Amino acid sequence: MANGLRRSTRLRGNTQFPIALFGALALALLLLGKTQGNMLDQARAALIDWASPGLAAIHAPFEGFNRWLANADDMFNLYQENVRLKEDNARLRQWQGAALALEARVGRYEQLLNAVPERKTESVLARVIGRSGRPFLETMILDAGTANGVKPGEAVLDPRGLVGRVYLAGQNTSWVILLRDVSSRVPVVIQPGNIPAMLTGDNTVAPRLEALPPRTELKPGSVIVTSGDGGLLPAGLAVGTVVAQAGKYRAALYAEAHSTSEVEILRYQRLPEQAPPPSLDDIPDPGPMPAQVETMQPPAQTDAQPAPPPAGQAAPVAPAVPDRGQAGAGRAAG
Amino acid sequence: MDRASAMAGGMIAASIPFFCGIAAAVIANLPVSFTLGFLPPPLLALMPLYFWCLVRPDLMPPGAAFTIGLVQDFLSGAPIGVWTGAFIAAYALLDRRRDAFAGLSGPAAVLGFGLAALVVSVAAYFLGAIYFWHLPAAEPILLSLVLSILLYVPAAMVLGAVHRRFVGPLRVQP
Repeated sequence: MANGLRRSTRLRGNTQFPIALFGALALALLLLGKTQGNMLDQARAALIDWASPGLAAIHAPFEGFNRWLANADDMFNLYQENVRLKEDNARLRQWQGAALALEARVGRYEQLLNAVPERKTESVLARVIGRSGRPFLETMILDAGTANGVKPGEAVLDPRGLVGRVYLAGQNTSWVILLRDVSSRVPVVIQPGNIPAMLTGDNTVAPRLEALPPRTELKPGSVIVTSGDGGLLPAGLAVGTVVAQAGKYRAALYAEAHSTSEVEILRYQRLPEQAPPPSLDDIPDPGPMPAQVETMQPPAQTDAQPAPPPAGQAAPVAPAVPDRGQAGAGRAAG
Repeated sequence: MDRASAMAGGMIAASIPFFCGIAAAVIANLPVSFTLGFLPPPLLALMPLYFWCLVRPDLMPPGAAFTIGLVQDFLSGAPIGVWTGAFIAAYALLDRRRDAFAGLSGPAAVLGFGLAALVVSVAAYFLGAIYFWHLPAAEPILLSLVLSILLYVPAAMVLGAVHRRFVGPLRVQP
């Protein structure tokens, strides 16, 4: 031991400079990551792509164990759960009837207004091959990547609601940044009232609701859906419900990111606005003669009436809400 | 031939602490969880670093600590530089107070590791806060710290066995 101490004392003098050097290098890397994060992220994605077969093999037994653990509590409440599900089912049937009637009514209104049809959203079904909750990253890894058409920023949903967004897409794998991750920001609206807010992750189970209008009081249990602001995510995706905690509002998420094994990646991309087709009216007027200037009147405001469709041909109509049923039909298995 | 094989064996033995650190970083950051993702992984990579930084500092130089931290950053998805900087901070503490840390035994040795892990956690927390420009939740890092301290006892037994079997004590060079 004495020998070790003598050697260690000798070593200490030699390590001061390397420690300072490596400390500075670490800080430089942090700054480089802030400015050139994409380069490092691509390297990460390539590594996970390479390791994905192994990850899938390792993850399988853990998945079974986790599913058993998640459902262990339910085994003792089967009867109550069954009664509750029957009640829910009856109530949902009533809602289904109301929703179908409303859908038909909205369809008629859209036809009358000749509304621009909402684009259908395609989706990719992917399996979860890894997940982890770490101090700086709440993530899951999926077995679908750019080869399946997945792009960063796309929404990831489980059967209950929004899980998060694709953060990094490798060729065959993608990383999902969960809603509770510290760097997750999703614009949402709270119903009823259409109150805008920002869902901000802080690595806790329930993300915060921030950027609410001043003096807003929310009712616990109000429904939170995506707002679609910014065009990254489609509007109307189910997120969760409002809960109040210590004077602040948070979201109890519908999605169960810790136990879900298959998710849907929505390939949503808002199209850029198209300029209207040119017409003869666009040709600039050479200008009135000086004598005519005084007599010019501003153009009359007329209500543009859409031209009626030709007989026997209906105006194009599509559901305003992305048709998940039809989207599912076009899924590509990941 | 015998001398060459002895040299090769020595080099392999000398690289074991470093590769144990890398392996611990890989294991800790496998994207699987026994706890449904509710508990963050412990700081497994810090354990070999702490252990050999005290018992064989010649085999755990600052460059090794830097590389292990970099692997931890890379695999954990944290901003590159957070765990690297945090590990270097802990290394600096251990380097300055090596004699005091190396003299600890029993529960005090666990507390010594706890202090090193606390330095790593605090440094990582503030480096992360600088990177994200707001204070992240402290709970995951605190949970990770507690788990790491709890797991250090069995980990130290494993590391001690590896050290005795493959690495060996420090010898003074003539």
